[in-house]
Amino acid sequence: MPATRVRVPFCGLPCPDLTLDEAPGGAVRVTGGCAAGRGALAALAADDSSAGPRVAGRAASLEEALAAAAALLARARSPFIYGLSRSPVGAAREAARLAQTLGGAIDVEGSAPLDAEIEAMAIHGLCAATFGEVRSRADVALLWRCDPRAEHPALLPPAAKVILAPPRAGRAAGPVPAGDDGAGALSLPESDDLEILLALRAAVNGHPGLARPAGTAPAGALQEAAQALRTARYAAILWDHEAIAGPVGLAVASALMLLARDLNTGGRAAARPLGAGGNVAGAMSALLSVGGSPRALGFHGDAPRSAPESFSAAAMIEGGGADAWLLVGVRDLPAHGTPPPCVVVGSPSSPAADSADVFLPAAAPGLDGEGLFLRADGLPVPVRPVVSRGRMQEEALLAALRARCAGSAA
Amino acid sequence: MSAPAPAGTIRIRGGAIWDPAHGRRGEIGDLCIRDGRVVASLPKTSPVFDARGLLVLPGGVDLHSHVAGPSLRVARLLCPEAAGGPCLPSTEQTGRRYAAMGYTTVFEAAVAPVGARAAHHELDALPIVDKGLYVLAGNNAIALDLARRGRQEELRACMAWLVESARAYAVKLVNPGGVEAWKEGRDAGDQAPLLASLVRAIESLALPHPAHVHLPGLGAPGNASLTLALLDALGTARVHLTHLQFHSYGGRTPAGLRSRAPEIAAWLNAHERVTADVGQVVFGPAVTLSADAPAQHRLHRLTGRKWANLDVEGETGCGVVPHEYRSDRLVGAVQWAAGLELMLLVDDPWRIALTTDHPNGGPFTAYPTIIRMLMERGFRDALLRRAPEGLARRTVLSGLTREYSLEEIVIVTRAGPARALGLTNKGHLGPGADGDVALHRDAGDPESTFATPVAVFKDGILVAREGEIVARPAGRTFHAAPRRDGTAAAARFAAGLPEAFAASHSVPLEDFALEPGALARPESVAAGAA
Repeated sequence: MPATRVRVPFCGLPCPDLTLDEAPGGAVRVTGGCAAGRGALAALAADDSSAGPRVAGRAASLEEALAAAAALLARARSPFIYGLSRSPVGAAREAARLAQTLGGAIDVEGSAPLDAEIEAMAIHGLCAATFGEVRSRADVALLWRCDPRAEHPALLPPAAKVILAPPRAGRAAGPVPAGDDGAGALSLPESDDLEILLALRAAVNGHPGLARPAGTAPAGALQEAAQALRTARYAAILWDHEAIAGPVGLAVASALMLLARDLNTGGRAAARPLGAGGNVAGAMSALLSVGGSPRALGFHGDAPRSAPESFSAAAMIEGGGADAWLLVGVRDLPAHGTPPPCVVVGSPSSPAADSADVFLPAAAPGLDGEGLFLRADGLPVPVRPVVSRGRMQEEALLAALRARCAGSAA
Repeated sequence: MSAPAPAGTIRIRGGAIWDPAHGRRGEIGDLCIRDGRVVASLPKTSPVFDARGLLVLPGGVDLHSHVAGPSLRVARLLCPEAAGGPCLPSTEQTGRRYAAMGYTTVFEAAVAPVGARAAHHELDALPIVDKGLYVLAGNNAIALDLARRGRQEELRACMAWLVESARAYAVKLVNPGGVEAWKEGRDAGDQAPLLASLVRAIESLALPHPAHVHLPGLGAPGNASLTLALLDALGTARVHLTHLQFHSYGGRTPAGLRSRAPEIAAWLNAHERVTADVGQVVFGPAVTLSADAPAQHRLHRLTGRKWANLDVEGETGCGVVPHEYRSDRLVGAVQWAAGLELMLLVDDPWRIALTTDHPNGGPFTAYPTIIRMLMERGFRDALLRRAPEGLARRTVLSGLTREYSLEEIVIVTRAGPARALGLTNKGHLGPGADGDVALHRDAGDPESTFATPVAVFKDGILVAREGEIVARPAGRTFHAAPRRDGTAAAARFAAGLPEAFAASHSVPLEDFALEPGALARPESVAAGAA
């Protein structure tokens, strides 16, 4: 296999290209990029590309499989479409329109941890910047419970002063390249996240009396961090989805967004959430343009409705709310009881592919699949096929399925 | 993958044809469309649509709207409460609502170059209507650097590169230099030289639509002085001034806001190479979204409403703030009146287009109501009687007697915008025109007449009947094709581009330009063709 350059942001961030080639022993080898990208591409490359469509476990023609899938979905009272986290925007849009046609629900795998961020933005707003802006302007960066510098050293300018609230215990921060953590680096004290952020906001806004979190945190480090943020030419605040997990996630996300907003009163600052990887941002964008909300959408009445408590994977798969599944490029299936009738679109190694009532193999974006991804900052990245395996694109399969379902409904 | 747009053949029989471009003012006749284009005649056996008793108009053309792209994504995330409503309809509903109202062409007015790929992807999903986008260039770090160093020829090459890379129809200049200055925390200073330099570069490309200019000072009290000063600095340049209402204010504070639309209209009347669109305010909820990020930050600080911002790759900004124009508040009433004053005081309807800058001034679905305001002084006066006290001292609207004729309405909603865009197949019903036709029943009042056409044809295909969508063909995407520039300056620009691009962008240069096959149904319009 000749060395092939692959440019897919499986991590959702600006990332060096991956290279796909053959190791001396003949195994497929992936180099470059980041760990998430290498893992994702290696898994795709190891896929059984000869798997064809199946109905009830038996080989079938594409036409037979599409017809069976459409019949299965059209029969359902509460069909649920799930996955799409590495599907191109066009496939996600088709999936959302299929959910609309079916009067079903849809959710994006990997989007649930972003709930707090989505809700906080809708309440408070978000002053953000693309990665290029952060890289070219930031002179101070607050890394909130994340540290992407080891895997993505080019995210921040080398001279930026870093304020680090270290990732929580149990998360690998990775080694930071020498020299990047220069003399000006500050570490925020270990304490309750919300308390630290509220204290930091208070200090930034000139209320030093309030800037002392309960517990052990020394106020000096906070004051120093606040001073650095307040006097920055352009401050950047970065966090990832794990940083806003848990019961106070909404409050933490709100505090981070309000901190960025406050810093724009006298200077410039931008928040840059790092997203959930893959093309979660692109799939959510497709749902936004079809149904007005980025995740957990139901198309049951006159207008689409977003309700994670009713239309998320937790409700529809774990909670058993769906009576049919359409899984598109799913990587991890939530815990569930006896599965309902199921259609799988994607790889033969997908969860539930073996037991699916209908299996439709689809091209894998980054390998033989094409389309558009959005990075975490919303910027588009074209995804081009690097090999040909004769598999249909997810978007085309979903469009064909929708046409048949629309025909069934008529 | 490119695919031809579907096209139909139909004889629209016996309607009153309104086609200002050809001096037709309601003459009864047949309109023939063959394979999607207007023709002089058809065989007698061709399909017929009975249009007796109906007004036959070209399809509407909205030359400034916000219907796709990264800024809309931000707006949808910030304002879920507006999702699906008139200000933030879904992509599908956007196309359907335009078509159901008789509009068949719409332009997305502000797209960052680096976001063009995503914007086109969304435009491709916008059903029925033809479309295009304007690429933002007024705060592009590469362009600003060339302008500041006086590299005018290289700046020209830069503008051509942006248009071609983004598959754009025109270049939009938003508060030139002002957004970049705000990002850097400094004052923009005198923006006139930069504006003039950018406009010259764009004009030299002879694109079908001239520089689409969003002036500095958006929405600020007293901005009319700046508007007039900048316009004078432009000299005789050919430009299009967008949402001019938002740049036509006197007063020193929001509480003291008053209209200076008469002075702006007088300037426009005296400069025949300049066109404009109004950006009319509609009372009710709106979602303001603009590449003019500092103006949006000001609005957020002023109103206390939530605010989203996105600084984009050394190219532009993007700010979103939900808003409400209240008829019982003087500020909103002044803005509303200023827009109508512009429409009524600009003598030549060919040079002022009806827009709401959707969804900034309000939703595009308000066009029929605005049309009634323009056509019926009595309707205006009734609204003015309910206006806040003091409006009469700050505006001249109550003294304006002009009422638009039907022909003038057809011009400001169809023929004029098409001509300003340089779209020779749009906005008229002469042979060769696209078969985009709206059939309206005269319902007694203009609002009812224009709200729901009896029938709408797109490329000769019946797409809407009494407000219901009956067919959903995919529209085309217009993009301009600048002439290839073989000058030494263009070569210098190309040689320096990789380094300049890498300094401000985190995407690879080789992914930046859209490939020729990237648009679903492209239609190229050559430079100098208008």
